[in-house]
Order: sequence, then structure tokens, then C-alpha cells
Amino acid sequence: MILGKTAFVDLSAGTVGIEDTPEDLVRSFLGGRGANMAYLHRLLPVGADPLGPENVLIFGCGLLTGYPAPSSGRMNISAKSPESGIIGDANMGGFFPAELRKAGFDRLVITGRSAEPVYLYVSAGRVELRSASAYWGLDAWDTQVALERDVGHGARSAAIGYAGENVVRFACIMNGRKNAAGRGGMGAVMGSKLLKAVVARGDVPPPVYDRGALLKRRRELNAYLHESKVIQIMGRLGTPLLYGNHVRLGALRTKNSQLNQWTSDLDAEHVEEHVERMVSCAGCSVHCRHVNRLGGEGPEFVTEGLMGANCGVEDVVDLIEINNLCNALGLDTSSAGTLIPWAMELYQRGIIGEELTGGPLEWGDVPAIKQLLLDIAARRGFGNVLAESTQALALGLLPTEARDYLIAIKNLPQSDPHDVRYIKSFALAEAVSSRGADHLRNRPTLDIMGLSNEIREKVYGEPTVAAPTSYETKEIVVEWSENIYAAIDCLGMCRFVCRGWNSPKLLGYDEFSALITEAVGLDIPPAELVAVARRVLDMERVINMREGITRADDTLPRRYFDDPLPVGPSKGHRIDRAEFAALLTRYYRRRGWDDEGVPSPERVAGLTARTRSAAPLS
Amino acid sequence: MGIRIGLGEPFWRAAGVREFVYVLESPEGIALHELCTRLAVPGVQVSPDLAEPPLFVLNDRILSSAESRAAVVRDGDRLLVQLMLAGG
Repeated sequence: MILGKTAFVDLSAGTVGIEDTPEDLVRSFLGGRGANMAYLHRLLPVGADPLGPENVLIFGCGLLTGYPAPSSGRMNISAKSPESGIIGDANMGGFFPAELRKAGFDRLVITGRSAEPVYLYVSAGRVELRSASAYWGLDAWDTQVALERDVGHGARSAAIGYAGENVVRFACIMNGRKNAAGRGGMGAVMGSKLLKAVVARGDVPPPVYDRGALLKRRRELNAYLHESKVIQIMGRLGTPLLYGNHVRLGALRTKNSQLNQWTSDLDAEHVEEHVERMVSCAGCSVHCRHVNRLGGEGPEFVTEGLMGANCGVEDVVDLIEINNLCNALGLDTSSAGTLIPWAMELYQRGIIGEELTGGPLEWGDVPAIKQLLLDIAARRGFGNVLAESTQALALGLLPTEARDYLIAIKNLPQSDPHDVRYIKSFALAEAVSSRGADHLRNRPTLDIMGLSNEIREKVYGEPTVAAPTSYETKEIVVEWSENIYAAIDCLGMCRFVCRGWNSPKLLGYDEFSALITEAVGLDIPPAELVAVARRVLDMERVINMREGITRADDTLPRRYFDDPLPVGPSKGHRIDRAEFAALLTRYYRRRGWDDEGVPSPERVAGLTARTRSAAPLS
Repeated sequence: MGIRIGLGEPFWRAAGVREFVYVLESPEGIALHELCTRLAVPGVQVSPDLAEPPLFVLNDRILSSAESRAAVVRDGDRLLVQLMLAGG
């Protein structure tokens, strides 16, 4: 089997240790998200301050990142989240992950805090700490440009902007103009360590175990993927494709989820007028990213919905400018697009006033929204309150009744614009997602596709109820989705080519297993890949429980239980508390946990044994 | 009066139009699968074998796969057809 290197960087001591990635760790957790969780399980002190030097920040390539496999240019960046207080785990594409692999590394495990701003320069199997004083104060885009100018053409950076430097709890790490490790405030963790960027420059592709077979399989799989209508249309329009369809269905979070439909003026057709071209991440043939004519990339559907409809913004040019601003500042648009609407509703209801906000905070006030984003990044005025994200409640910066209007789970603002009150499986998925309110961990997207029972049974391996408004068997579809997405995150491949993500076709365990064998010479049959995925979910549960998570946290915002959807085909739907509680119990049992969501002592002991090598030898 | 048909993404692009009225020949209505055949918009069809089927919304009611196969569309009805993706 071909193995790579893991670097242990202690920013306090200014030291770097480089070791071979342990083979048993790869067999148990592959790489990417799985291996990151193994290191967090082993190295993260319980109760650590997420903004303190003891937090462990891990940049982890997937097992196949940078290999000639389809859409294999992604990585996970993980730490304890300063936003949620539990697992922070953000997935990022672009070109940086593959460059880190070519520079000789599977992952970087970073601890401590530097005395001065630094960046890591990673190249040719070495990691150097270099002064970042010349770059401190630059936004995320200018930082990357300056670093490539100074380090050399072709260097790729994962960098923070002002938001990360000012330790805004939902600051993200940027590579390129739009690729973000967005969720959970990983940018704030970097800022707290005075780590401005990680720069990778590599020119040695990873050695391939069976190059001929892998290249042949890649050709065949790419051809297969491009037979999919979903892949074809994603490559033409990108995710803005989803916006108009959500509007028509009445499934769009609007004005802090008070409404569920908004103007069509932000849909794909309107965004297209401002798109220069479509581009892709490293190694991907889908090319679903769009370069906009206002100097940035995007917006994606998440930003369209949350910074658009959810804030009451109606004009597509305003939306693109807001999108570009968030990316330059290094702010997660999922959190910004939930927190700002939260504040707007609080202002609307008179729960907060101008003595706190510093001025009117009206729906759709674009100049006010842009100013607020700048103030959040600078931690200025009311921006300093929202910079604390949901922790503003615990810190006493907002009245306690504000919690009733917050759309967040486990203190993480909801990631996506889809209102989950109609599709019950989506609601369960948000509630149990291991990093908080998030659709990317486990959304059973097939539940809204109107698939026949025959096709569903082929996908899930057993009969399931197709009706999206039913609670029955939805634990099956969520668990299945959670497993396969965890597996693909361990590989460093993109969700958009994963079976279950918008299509029952696309790539699944059989393809993953074959790619792993041909790329690195490791035999992991499909059934074992499922076991790896379940192991990762168990580990995330154990880490979260160490940080205080209980069954009570696997819940939904009050609004989803109490307020029915007001308009459209989804009108009248909400989540029934009793049905949800029963569904949650069934999900736990499906996971092999007890009725409080606790893995058995035997499984916990097994995880501990498997993570023994997830630590520096020294 | 006819049937008001709305085409969402991506189907309106092949058809070149987002909304139009389909005039029925018969007052009894038309089976949805037959209507799709007549519209001849690529990808707009009713079949249990489709892995990436269109989603049909008839008079604000989202149809399941089985309901789509049995549905009859009548004069004055509103039909929306789109590819419903929820992951993005």
C-alpha cells in the first residue's frame, strides 16, 4: 500500500515533526474527514477552548485527493468549532487540496499559538514557518495573490481574511475566490493561532499503485457521470439551478423562515446574465462553479437563498456583490445568511432596537447589509455582537427571547436555504447532523425526486416510504445518506458525483472500492467502506458527547415545530413533535446507539483502540 | 381555458418558454403521461424506470411517482414540471 506523510506543527514551540501516516489508521478511517476525526478523538483535550492554543486544527486530504480519480480535489479541515462548541469540520475544494498532496502530505496537524503572525509553507515534503506580518490585514483574495507573487507562481493558499484575523466565530478559510472551508469557524481557529495561511507548492503527483487501470476507470466513470441529466445541468448552470425550483415549490427559507417563497429575480436565468464562464476544481469534469462578471465566483444556491431571500434582497447584482464581499472578507454565507435575518426579525419585532443595532435593520436594505458584513469582519458596533454568532446568547449580548427566532441546531446556524418543514427526512437529517444544522452531512435528496418504489429499493437495499411528508422509514434514508457522504468525505471526492446526491445514479461503494485499490493498492470491499463510514459517525458522536451533546440537542428550531409553512404547495406543513421523537429513536437504533443516542461501551472501546496511532510518535 | 403549464429548470430551456396554455381536445381531460408525450419536451415524461424523473406539481399538490402515473389533467388545472434537486 502507498502511504504518505503527516506533519505535526506546534506553533507555540515553532517546531515541525514529520512522520509516515500510520497504515492502520488508513485502513480504519481512510483519510480526509475520517482520519481528521481520529486525530481529534485522540488529541483534542475535552473542554478545550476552541480559540485557545490547545485546539487542534487539521488540514486533511482525502485518501484519493490529488489522484487521477473523478472529482477528487477536496479535503476536510477540522477542529473544535468556536461557533458551535462541538465538532467543526469543513469540506473544501478548489486547487489547494491537490497541491498539498503534491507537496508531499496527507495532512497537517496544527497545535499551539504563534507569538507573531505566520504562514506555513509546504513544499517537497517539508513544512516551514514563515513570517506573515506582510500579509496580516489583507483580505482573503489579496492575501493569496500576494503569497503567490512572493512564493512563486503556482503556489496555492488556504488563507483567512479580516474576519479570521479578528476571530469572527464564523470566519472561513478561503482558497481561490470562492472555495471555502466555510462551516464552523475554522477561519477563526486559524486567526486565534495567528496563522494567516497555509501555502502549498508541489510538483510531484502522488505515486499511483496501478496507473493504467486507474486512468481507464476514470475515463469510464467520467463518461458514465456525464450521461446524468443532473451532472449535465450542474455543469451548465451550477447550483443556482436549485433556486427557482425551490421558489415554485414553496420550500425557500425567506425572511428568517417566516415565509417560504420569494422573487424569481434571483434565479439561474438572472444569475446567468452575469456569468463569464464555468470552471472546475482540480480533477473534476463537472465544472459547476461560475465566474461572475463582478470580479468573483458564485453565488451558489446557499448564498442566493440565504443572503438573498432570507435577507429580503431582490436584485441579482446586489446579491452577487454581497456574495463577493463575503468571500473577500472570509465570512461563511450560511451563518451570515442566518444570523443577519435573525437580527432583522428581532428588529422587526422590537426585541432589539437601534440603541443596539446602531441604525435601522430593515429587510432588503442592501447598504445596511453590506455595512453590517464589514462591521462583523471588523468586530465593530453591532457587527461585534453578530461576530459571536449564536454564542451571543450565552454571552448575554442579546435578550434571551431572541433564541425563539434563531434557526440553528447545536449552536450552528442552518446551512442551506431549504425549508425542511415539508420533507420530514430532511428535518431529521438537520437535527442529527454531527456538526450542527447542516444539509451536507446527510441530506436524503432522493426523497423529493418522485422516484418509483423500485428505484428506491434498489438504492437503499430495502423498502422505504416514498412520500416526503411521511415520517415512516425516514431513519433508513437518513442513515444511508449519512454513511455514503461520510465515505466520500474520507476519500476527498466531491459530493456532487456521489450516489444519493440529487441522483440515484452516480458513484457508489463499488466504484469507491475499485478506485481505492487502483490508486493506493488497498483492498477495502464495499461492505467494509460502509463499516468505515459508520465508524466515523460513531467517532463524531463520541467527540460531541464529550463536549456535552445529548439527545436533547438533536432537535429543531422552535419555528419548525410550531409555525406551519404559510404559502405554496408546501403550505400548512410543520414538524410534529411526537412523530419526530419517535423517528429520532428509530434513527438511533438504526445507528446501533441506545435510545439516548449513546454508542455502546464496546463500540467506544473499539474506536479508542483504532485511534491509538493518531498521534505523533514523539 | 386549457391547462396552464409551467416549466421549471431545466425543461424550460429546451422548450424555449416558461409558461404556456395547453388546449385540450376533450373535456374529460388527458392522462398526464399522454400529455407529456404530446408536449415532447426532452426529459418531461412519466415512467417508473426513470432515475432522474421530473417532479410534477398539479394544482399545488406534489405528485408521487405512483400518482404521476395515474394522474389525469383537466381543463383549468395548473401543472408545474421541474427537476427537483435539493442538494447544493
